[in-house]
Amino acid sequence: MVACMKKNNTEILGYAPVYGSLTELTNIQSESPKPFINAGKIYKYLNYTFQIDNGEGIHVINSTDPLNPQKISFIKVKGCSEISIKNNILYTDNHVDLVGIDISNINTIQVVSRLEKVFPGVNQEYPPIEGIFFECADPAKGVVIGWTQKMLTNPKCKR
Amino acid sequence: MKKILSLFAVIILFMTACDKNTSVSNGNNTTGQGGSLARFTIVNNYLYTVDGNYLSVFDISNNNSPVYKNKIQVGFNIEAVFPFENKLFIASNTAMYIYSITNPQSPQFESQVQHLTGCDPIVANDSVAYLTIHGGNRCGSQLNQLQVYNVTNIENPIFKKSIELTNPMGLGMKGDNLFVCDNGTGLRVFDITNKYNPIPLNIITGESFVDVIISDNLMICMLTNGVAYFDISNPSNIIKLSTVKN
Repeated sequence: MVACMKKNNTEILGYAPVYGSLTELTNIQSESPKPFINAGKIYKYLNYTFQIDNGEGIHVINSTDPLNPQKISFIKVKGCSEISIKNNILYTDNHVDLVGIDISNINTIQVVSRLEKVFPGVNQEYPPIEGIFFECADPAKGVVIGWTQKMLTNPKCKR
Repeated sequence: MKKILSLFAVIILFMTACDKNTSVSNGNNTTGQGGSLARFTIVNNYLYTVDGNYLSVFDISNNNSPVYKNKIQVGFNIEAVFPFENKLFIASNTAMYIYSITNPQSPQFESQVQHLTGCDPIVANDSVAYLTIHGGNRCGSQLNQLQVYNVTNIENPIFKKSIELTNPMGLGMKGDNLFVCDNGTGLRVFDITNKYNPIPLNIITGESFVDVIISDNLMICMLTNGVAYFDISNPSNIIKLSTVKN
């Protein structure tokens, strides 16, 4: 017990909030292909495969030739985890909002609709896991867009 | 001159090919396909979403202005939604719920089956539902099973069988075959000629499988680190076509 303490500081693995500004959160745009960070759910539409990158956006893969599929772009959508497409409109969760994105041209996508605050989004007060320490969230720092594992010093919050 | 003309033709062909690469046209009235872990699903002109304790209904008949129509409390910790014809199969971490969407704006509760706690995607048709339950921290149990229900009467689903697995996640079916991602072990293929009694047929290893989308003879797999494509025209001899990682 004493060995774990350094100058009365306790270090423990827990969770810390990841903050984002509202402007950054709602900025949806098409970008060049990028590596997977946290590969999420997949979706098939025509000859394309879409794969969510949890919290970050959507990878677009041209799978016309399944022997040689190619990543062709990345749609940046902060706080996303879900996807569904009809009539070239891609629906996804942008944090707490439902957005509709016209993907008729994959390189010049356009947000055509936004329904605000229809999803619970990331919990603003505590991480999704119980029985752990975490860094208390500070609303002054922005919107909590995720919770990440981190070594914490003297964490004050526990769930 | 002839040479120049044919070069011109080649250029035009090339331009058309390029255009195809970025333009997702012909999408009129086309709906895509998700995996069994999906929490969003589109049936006709409606988008259904599940989160936490609720099922939400959005009218998407107008491409540019979806309308939030309804929000229904279903149960706790809802994990996934799977549509089949006029039904929605909803998976929570303690139960499977069946809703009728004969009236698409107002899903109607039909029945529920309680099972032991665990995360649990579902695939189903008019007579059978397959669901997997996996344990682990977030899911609150150590149970790892494939379960089979007779859902011919949606008001009264009947438990038929359970099969012990390692850490099952997403699943998909095609004809007489059921494909189950058993993360850590591989992708298990079952013969479901007798739909209530799946028989192990094959196992594909070498990737960390999480979910599948089956489209004719093509199986698209969600991996923990990307996507993999398989030819499943012969379920006894499944051929890996490619992977996209990094």
